[in-house]
Amino acid sequence: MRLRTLVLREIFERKSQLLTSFLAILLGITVIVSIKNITYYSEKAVALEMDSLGANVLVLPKSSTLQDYYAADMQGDTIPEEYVTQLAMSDLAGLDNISPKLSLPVELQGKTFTLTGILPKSEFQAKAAWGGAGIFSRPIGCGASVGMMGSEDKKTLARKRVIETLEDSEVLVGADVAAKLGIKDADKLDVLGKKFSVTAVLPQTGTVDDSRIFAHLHVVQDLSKKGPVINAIEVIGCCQEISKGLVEKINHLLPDAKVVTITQIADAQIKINRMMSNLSLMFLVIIVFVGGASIANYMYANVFERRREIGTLMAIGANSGLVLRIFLLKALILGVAGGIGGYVIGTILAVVLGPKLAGVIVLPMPLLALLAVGISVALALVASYFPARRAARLDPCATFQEV
Amino acid sequence: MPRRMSETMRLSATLSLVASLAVWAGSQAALAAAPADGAAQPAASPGAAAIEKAAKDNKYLFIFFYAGQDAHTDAMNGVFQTAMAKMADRADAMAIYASDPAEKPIVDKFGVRGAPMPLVLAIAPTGAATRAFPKQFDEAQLQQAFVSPCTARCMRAIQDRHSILLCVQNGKTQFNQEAMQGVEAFKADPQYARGTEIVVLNPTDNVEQQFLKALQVDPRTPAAVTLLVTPPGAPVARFVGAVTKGQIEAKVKEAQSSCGPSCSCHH
Amino acid sequence: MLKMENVSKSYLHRGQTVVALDNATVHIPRGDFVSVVGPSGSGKSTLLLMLGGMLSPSQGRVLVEDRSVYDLNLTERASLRREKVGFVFQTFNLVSYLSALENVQIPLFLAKVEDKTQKDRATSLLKRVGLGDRLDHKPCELSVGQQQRVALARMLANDPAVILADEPTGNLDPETSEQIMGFLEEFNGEGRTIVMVTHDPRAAKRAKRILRLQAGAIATEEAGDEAYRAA
Repeated sequence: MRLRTLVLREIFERKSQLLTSFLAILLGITVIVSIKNITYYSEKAVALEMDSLGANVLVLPKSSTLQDYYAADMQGDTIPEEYVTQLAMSDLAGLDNISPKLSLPVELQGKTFTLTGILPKSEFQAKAAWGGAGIFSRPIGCGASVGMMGSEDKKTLARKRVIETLEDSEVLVGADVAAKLGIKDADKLDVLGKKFSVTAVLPQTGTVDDSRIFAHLHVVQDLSKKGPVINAIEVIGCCQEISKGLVEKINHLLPDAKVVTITQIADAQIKINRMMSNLSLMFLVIIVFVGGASIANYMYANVFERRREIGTLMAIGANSGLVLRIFLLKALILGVAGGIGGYVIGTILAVVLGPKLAGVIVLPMPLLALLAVGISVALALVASYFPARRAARLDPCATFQEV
Repeated sequence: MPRRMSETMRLSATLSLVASLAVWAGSQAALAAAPADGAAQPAASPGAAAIEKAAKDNKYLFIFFYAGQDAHTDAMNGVFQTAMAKMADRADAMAIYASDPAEKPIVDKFGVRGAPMPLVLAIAPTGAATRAFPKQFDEAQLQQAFVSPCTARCMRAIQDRHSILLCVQNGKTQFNQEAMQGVEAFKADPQYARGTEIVVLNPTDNVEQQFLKALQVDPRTPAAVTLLVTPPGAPVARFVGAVTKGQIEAKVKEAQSSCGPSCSCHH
Repeated sequence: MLKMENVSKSYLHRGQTVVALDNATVHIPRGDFVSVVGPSGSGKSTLLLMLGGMLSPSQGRVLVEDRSVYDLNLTERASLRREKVGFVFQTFNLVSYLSALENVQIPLFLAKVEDKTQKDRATSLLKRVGLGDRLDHKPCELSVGQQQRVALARMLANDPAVILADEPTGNLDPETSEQIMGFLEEFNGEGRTIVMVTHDPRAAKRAKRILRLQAGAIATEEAGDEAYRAA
């Protein structure tokens, strides 16, 4: 017989009563853990996006709604391809790497992918000369391409988001497309009746780009019969200083288009993350009160129920310190169980629902276990302190006189 | 000759004749049905032919690209014709329908597709597009298309996606040899040979003063100045005096990985 | 062994003073077997609780082995109970969620006895009261007689010098009562002092002395059958 045997036996004696009382704290901890877990990974994804895309600017149709940067061009509305010429002939700095895109859904072997037409950098740069010899004195914006020095590895499209050259019959396929259709480099691919040669299979990015098939913009325009239009122009900036001024300048140049930065897109997600953080704080407050009251209530009832037992123990020679320890140990055990249970359920919820709710992969965070158990134990102990003290101060005689 | 043998000979001769006729007829039919392949036979594109001719005559070629017939296009065509008549000694003119399959090579080469129409494109004798005038233009503007010979040469190189080692030197500048040695050594390297062009420019050449100004090179420079110019056209490196291959290579690598002088790159 | 010197206990109940014990003086030598009898409300339980160090008197002193119990602090009193006193209750007061063996182990646990020793001693005690085959039974799985025997075993765990029994046969049938009284006599035979409060005249007679309480005071004292037997 040890103290913990005494306490554990009593806990398992009437489990249902126990469970309902601690349900509040278990649920509260579950929710807090889930929210914090999902929010952490969501914030990480946003930070990552901001880091890699932070200097980018998107030119979109005015009517487009912005939710996902990577799928910005898959909305259906279009802007004229002329905008590309306008950008090329302007003397705005920072437009060295732009990627006009036109997308349409295609079905291959029963699976749906997106055929995305992109304009290679070479063709965009050719237009730069249209402004005249001024190109020799235009300041270098984002990166000089050193021409034919070194051949281009087209797989860098995934990372750099622009491609130097692309022939009419060439396609680049995303990682998921290649996996689902069993395509390798140099395979042949038939899309909408036109035969293409797969120049490269792009590396996995974890974004919607993995299910794209990239072809030349004009080829896709012909296949879609939509004429000289595009869905979006992605301006890949290299540094935020240049990009900051760009939005306003492009807006001025193309008043009928919507010009946005990744920050604006990320803003929505950031707002949601902040709201979730506040929500988790609110939950914390709720469980402190509701959970705490529920535990205290249960403990008081438990003390009352066990008064004869306590009196007996005291008669047999237990001092009030021991009685206090019995109840506080019970609270500790339940706190730990509630914390661990809440962490486990909360983590499972986060891992399962995270991708659906926030569009990010969520992994367990062991650190949250410490938080969960910490809150749970602290709450259980504080809520049980007064009931435990009452038990310790019980007058044994009073318990015997109720025969 | 035995009767049988002579009959066989007559039969085989007839058959051969018929077969040859069939083959000839078939090939003619095939030839007639084959589409005019602009890439294989450049001369089939009127635009390409016009460019060749203008280059030979050392004249510019102004091409009026149009997408359809409407009032505005007609009006601009009118302006075009009038202006070109006045510049006939310096430039040829032609019109191309942007969707003409025969002119696809020209349209693709100059990236005209998707541009605002009508579009006038000025092409120098070097084959470089020196100026474009989308949608609306007037005579005075068209005059601005003419650039200096060296400018045109450099624009051609850039449009071919080559880098240029522009050597600004003449009899009066110092370190000509040293600069040229480094430049030639660089070009000799097979890694860079294909994508690099060497252009020599005399700083005191009157015609090229505007070009020199654009490149920020002092015409009275005492030493040879060597510029590394890469697409889209801005110089990425400037060397005064002697130059080594190593120095140029270092700048090339720097340019490939950096962002430009005006920002703190984070890639 | 046990002494009560001029002990009085009164308390307020709904504004009225109730006298539970009135100037009681009791002397119980070592090895004595005393029954305390009297009508309900005569102060029997109060006397017992005071002897056990669980109820402090309004006046007077209670001495266990010449130590004034109520001059000790609560912790010391608890220690005293643990080492010297064994309680037997009318309602057995076993812990419902522990087995018979575990119930008997409780006093040993309180005395900080080592685990293995606890088990061994508890097992032998239960065997002594004839429950060697019921070690793992919970109280609800035992008959009332068996429960009281478990209580007896528990009471013996720390080898108490004094046994205070409050109506030990109150809830038992005659045969089982007989069994329990037999055990108490046995314990008394081992030299333990027993004070037993009881309603049952036959049980009372089994003691050496019978103290009769009336209205908080000791009215009479007579010898029990035991006295005659011993003599």
